[in-house]
Amino acid sequence: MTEVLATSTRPTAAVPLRSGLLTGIDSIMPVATVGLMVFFAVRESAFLTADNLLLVALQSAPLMVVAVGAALLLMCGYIDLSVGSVIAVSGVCAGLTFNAAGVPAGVLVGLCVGLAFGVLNGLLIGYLGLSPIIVTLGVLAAGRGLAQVLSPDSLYGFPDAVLEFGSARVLGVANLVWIAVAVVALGGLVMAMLPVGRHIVAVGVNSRAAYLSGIPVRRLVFGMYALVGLLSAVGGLMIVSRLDSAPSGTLGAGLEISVLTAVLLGGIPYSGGKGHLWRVVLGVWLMGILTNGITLMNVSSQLSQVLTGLVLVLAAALEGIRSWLHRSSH
Amino acid sequence: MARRVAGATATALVVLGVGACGSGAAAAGGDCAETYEIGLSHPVGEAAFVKALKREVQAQADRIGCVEMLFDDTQANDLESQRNTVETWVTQRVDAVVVLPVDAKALSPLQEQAQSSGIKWLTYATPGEGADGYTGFDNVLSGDLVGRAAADWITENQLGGRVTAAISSISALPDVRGRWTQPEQLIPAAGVEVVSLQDCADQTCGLEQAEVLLNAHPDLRVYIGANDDAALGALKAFESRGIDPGEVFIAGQDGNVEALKAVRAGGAYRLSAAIDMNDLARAIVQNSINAVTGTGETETEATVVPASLDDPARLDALIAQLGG
Repeated sequence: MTEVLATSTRPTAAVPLRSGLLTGIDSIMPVATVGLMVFFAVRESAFLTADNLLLVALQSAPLMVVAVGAALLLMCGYIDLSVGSVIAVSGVCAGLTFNAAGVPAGVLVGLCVGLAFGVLNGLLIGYLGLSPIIVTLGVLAAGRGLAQVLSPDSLYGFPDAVLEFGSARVLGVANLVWIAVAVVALGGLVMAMLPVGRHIVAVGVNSRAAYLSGIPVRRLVFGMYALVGLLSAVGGLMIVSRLDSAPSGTLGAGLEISVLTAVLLGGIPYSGGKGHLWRVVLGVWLMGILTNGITLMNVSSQLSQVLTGLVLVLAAALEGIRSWLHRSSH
Repeated sequence: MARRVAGATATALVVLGVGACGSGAAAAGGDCAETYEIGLSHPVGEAAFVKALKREVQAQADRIGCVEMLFDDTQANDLESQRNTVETWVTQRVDAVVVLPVDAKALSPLQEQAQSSGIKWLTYATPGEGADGYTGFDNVLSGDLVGRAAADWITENQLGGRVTAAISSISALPDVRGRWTQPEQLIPAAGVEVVSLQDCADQTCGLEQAEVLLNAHPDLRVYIGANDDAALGALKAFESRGIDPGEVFIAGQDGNVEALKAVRAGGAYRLSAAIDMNDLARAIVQNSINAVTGTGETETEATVVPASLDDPARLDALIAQLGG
């Protein structure tokens, strides 16, 4: 949907051959993902079961929530590398509050902390024009340090409601998966139906032109960072509710790389200006099944790293070919 | 407006900066004829056990006196981070470096440089070639304790051939491999197949790994963590699946306070091969001083003990030692 804006001035009278070619190109990643699933299904009978696929969805849910925010931000042409630490600080602050003031207060505090970090990033990048990479890398380091200062040890033993929420199901599907579905649906709605969706892409295509056409670029960037901060806190709370623990040293550690990988696999370029959320969902799913399949196959640790790297490089190459063919066919 | 925004963000940065700078290098007292500067580098700084260890080392250094401890912040076996920190210490000419190397070979030029400058090079957790000292614990004994306890439990409950087992490893630290190679031998000898031996050293990973394995192997009833964090994550997976804790054997290694409390609570988490933290921390500081002064012992191993409900008094003492 968003790519339409970026390509709206292009000729629309595509010949059927070209149309067919583009459809085929667009299907590369979905086909590759299905191919990987078939491979795992053949190798491991436990892979292609409803329970296992629901488990992949559950384990991918926190990543999915954060990736939606990061995807919208990258479409806007900006990047946030601080999400792993924002998850840690939000989770730790929520954990500290759970035992002191109850679950609702803990959730509220966790969300506010995530939002505060997002606002900080937004102010520094959106309004002061500082480098997104430098600022968010700084917040990544500072956030992890802050989490460890606030809680040098693991926080655990939260009220029962925390773990109950993290493990409860509705219609056979985990609560956390429903949260991820809701976030994806809202993200899709924003991009498809609301003007802000078009503004995000417009800023990503050319922020100067967007500004001149009346889009409040700074406010939009500020808002997008705040959103990513908030969604990181949601992701952090999701992980904490599954673990019933908030280990400040490892909570969310390295998640920024997983988020970035999923978003780039989803075909959103660094420069922004285009992309589809459903492809990001596919990127998250691909990473989920890869981890799951490797665990099921009991692949040795060294080999699993090689396999993971190879599959991700292959997926990125396929996505690159898709983008290149897309550009050259217009 | 821009000035106000700048002010607010600067304040926020200061707050964050203060939060990030909470390292524990306490200066030694002013009465010392000589103050020893000792750097301690551990590659998995994010682990709960390591954080507790650093605190205890600082406390022991304060107790001994005339010692200034420096700690690095290497996490996730990041060799580059470890190398940079240790290189800085060598450049500033500390008296001793205690290091658990991510890769001993990669740090060997630094070791040479340090030793040729008169800096004592000691290793932690595992003996190092050409090192001036070593403070550690027996990883083979640690793995043996958990592996043997699992095998005994299997035999006692006559579960040979009826259940499966999983073991986690930390292949980035080959020097501690006894933690998983021992159970890998002992559990099959008791008649139980090990269906998974994969890396895992934190709670999220332990949870996710055990969840996936329980799907593929519904008869999985034994999980041995290379450390307590992985085992604690696995415990959550068994609990959320509603498996009777009486049917499950989970054990971890290190003896972090969360794990010890899980053992104390009874249930599936039956054992942690616990390292005596006071003993270990004191030895790290004392061995370094001995290496610098050229007197006394420089190679010691801290005790590893089975912390289980078989000995509640010991369990409580270990928990109390960690301030739990």
